[in-house]
Amino acid sequence: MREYETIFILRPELAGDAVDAFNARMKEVVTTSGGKVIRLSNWGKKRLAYRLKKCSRGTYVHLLYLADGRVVAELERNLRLSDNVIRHLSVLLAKDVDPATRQTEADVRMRGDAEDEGVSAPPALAAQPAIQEPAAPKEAAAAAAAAPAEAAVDEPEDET
Amino acid sequence: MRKKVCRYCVDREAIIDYKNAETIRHAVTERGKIIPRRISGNCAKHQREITIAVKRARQLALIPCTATQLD
Repeated sequence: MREYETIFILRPELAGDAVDAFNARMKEVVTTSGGKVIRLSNWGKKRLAYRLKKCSRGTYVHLLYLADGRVVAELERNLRLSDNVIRHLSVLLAKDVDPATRQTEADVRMRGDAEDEGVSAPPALAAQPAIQEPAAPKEAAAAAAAAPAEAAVDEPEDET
Repeated sequence: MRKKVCRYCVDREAIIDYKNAETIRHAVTERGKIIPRRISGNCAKHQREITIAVKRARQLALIPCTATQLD
């Protein structure tokens, strides 16, 4: 199987439990069509760099899974059909992954930088956690990916 | 003139990840344009990774496409 990741952005109006329900449904789409979900991360409500479908914020959800190409097509079809999704992107991470070697991980939930519209802290303050938050899942993933590679890599030699 | 070196070849800590806007910020100008190899001195391999990452990040509205926003 292949390892894919799909990120989709949900409308900011969607309430917390509606987001969870939608995410659960998308996980189900992957599993029922023969994929294996590794991890679902909810990045929380974040400010968009530019407006998408008249929205200036959105809830980012990152789904990491093992599947075949058909499963991705099926998932994307579902994302396109839903009115809640304002943007989605799927990326192939690795080919020929053995599903038995990859453990399912617990869902991750992060706080976005724009949880409450209007009531939130001034932009300068609100922007601060945004810088930190997205780094967390990536660091973990990078650490996992880099671990085998690191052993092989020695200190680069000094050039004079 | 000093020979420029690719910062991603020199520094293995410097990662390119489209999901993390902070790692992409270095690769673009204030206007959001991708910095060319001519200026940054990156190697072809890493420049290629950067362009792909920047374009993905733009798609996800993590970084702006332009400085003047078409709101």
